[in-house]
Amino acid sequence: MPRDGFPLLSVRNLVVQYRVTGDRKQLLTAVNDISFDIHAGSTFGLVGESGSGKSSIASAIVQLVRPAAGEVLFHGENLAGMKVSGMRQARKSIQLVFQDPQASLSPRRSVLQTLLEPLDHFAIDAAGQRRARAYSALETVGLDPDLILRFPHELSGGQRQRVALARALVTEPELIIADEAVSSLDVSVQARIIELILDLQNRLGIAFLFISHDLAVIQQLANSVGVMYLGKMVETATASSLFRQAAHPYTRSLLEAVPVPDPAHSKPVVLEGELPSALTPPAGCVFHTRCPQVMEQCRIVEPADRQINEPVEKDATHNVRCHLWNS
Amino acid sequence: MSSIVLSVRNLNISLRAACEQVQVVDRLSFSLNSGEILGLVGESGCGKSITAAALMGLVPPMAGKSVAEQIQLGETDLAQLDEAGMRRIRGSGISMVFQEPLTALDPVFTIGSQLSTVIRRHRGENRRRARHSSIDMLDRVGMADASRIMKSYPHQLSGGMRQRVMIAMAMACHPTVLIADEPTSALDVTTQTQILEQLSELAQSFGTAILLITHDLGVVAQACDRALVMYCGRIVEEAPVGTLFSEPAHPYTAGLLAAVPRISNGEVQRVRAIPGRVPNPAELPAGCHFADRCSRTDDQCRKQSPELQTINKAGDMKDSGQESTHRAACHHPLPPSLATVVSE
Repeated sequence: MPRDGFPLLSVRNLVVQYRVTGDRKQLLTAVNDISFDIHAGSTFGLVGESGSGKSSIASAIVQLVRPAAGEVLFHGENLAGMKVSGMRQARKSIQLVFQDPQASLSPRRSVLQTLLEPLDHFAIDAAGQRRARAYSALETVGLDPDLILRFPHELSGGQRQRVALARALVTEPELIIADEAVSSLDVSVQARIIELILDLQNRLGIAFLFISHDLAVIQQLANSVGVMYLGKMVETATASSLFRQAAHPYTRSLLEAVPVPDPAHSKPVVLEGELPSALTPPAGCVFHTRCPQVMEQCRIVEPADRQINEPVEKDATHNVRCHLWNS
Repeated sequence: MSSIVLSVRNLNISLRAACEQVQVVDRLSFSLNSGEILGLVGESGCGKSITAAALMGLVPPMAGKSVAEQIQLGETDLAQLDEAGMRRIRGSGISMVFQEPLTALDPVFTIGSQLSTVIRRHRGENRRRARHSSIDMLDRVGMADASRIMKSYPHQLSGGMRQRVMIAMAMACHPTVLIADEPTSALDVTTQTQILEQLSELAQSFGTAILLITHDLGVVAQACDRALVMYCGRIVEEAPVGTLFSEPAHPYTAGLLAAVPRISNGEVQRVRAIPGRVPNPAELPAGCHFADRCSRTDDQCRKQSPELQTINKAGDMKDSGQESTHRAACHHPLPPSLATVVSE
């Protein structure tokens, strides 16, 4: 439940732009007017193809890139306008886990040094007690304490990702942003990290922003889901509603494209073409160049965000940006 | 009908690690039929990619040693060839597509230059003809704007387009066998579907047999006719995909299937992880390498290493001979009824 009357994290009309230098200077809009909420202890799954703007949202939330417009409210407080010192405190409560632990862990630091770093930085506990906290974080993620003096190259991929999770957990965050955190792992290792995340959430009540291109993984973890295409949120819904009745043609194509481990399953319908360049997004609906159900007005008018169900409870809405749902 | 185009017998590969030789592929035998797509599935470190390197004759002599009783490609036994002989085979007899096209393509040459080099080298065509053949190949892999692509550099293309270029390059000399090592793992799902479809189409039109190496069982189900499951350097199960997914005989295969997240439009089907972890190749347990992680383990499994044997399934031999063979290396294979329970 939302504490102090606000959702834990509330992203409001977020816009992220990058300056692109090339033949001429241009502005690339990576995230275009995105809004969503994450409640304490729940998981919001963000899905889309590479280049859709998912990771830019992650960076904008922790202010690694400054949003061009919009708000990122953490406990109702806007991080976007915050000074460096205030942001440092907020970062203690918002931790990040990335796709490739090989790249996100320092090769020259042992597991112990890696886990002590955030504790030293935030001056958590007396210096003498930090070690104990590092050990307990390691235990939380199910790693053998004997590994604490090892270096990343001495660990397997799954173990490294557990270390990355442990590093995120030592500061006792309220929100973990996991950007493709299980995408580079083998299925059997991936399954164990998924189990671990579910378990952590149960025990510690941590909220997750889980970013992935894989809807099957998203379904394992998320309470609600947002589908992104070329910087736009084209559909948001509770996970059960989205997987029961995906409304946007893009979401349906994505669902269709996930390989099903069953040879009897009918071959997926190929979504033609590729993601258009974000420098020159199509007019009208961003998806119209690839949409199997494209209509005349899709090429001209941008569809508005529309609620398509009667919410059974608060926040159980199902929203879609598509002209098919305009009637 | 289908005939065997590649037959591998007892391929052993060892790699040099610290001061010892570690065997990473152990008595690997399989055959590939013309026009088929054979999946080679397993987790990282199981030996699938080094197997591909060995078939191409690309295991660096400093790093390791690959010894095979026989690698028969048509009339030629690749196991007997020296480097000069292998160089003639690569590209035209057996060709390869890698996972990450950005590292496989040279960043400082245009696509056209790289593609026509391959064609000139292997087909002996002059510049102008090679250019035409290149454009033709790009057309065939579904690149609409081939003459523009020819002038582009790799970084100017998207991941999916780069992989199409790689496929065009690999198929340019109409190889008998194409090895595709995780060709879609770095791509988005939507692009993955396009590339897989392109591969099957090409295999059909050129009659090329494909060895598709992947860790993704979804890809196997979508694209392959038959599959080999590898664990710790050995083939633990071999079956037509239909059988492999509906009646896995090896507990490892069943475990992998249960670990794959599946989309459902109702209740979430939770993934189930395989307990334990893949053993270090330098310290493989005696007997069955999967014994420590298996629920069906008994004394025999710990002592005696199971050999691949045909699973007896009377009444399910609808296809004839070779293709429908279902084999597993397990002392206690799962009976068909139980297999579905486990993988459910």
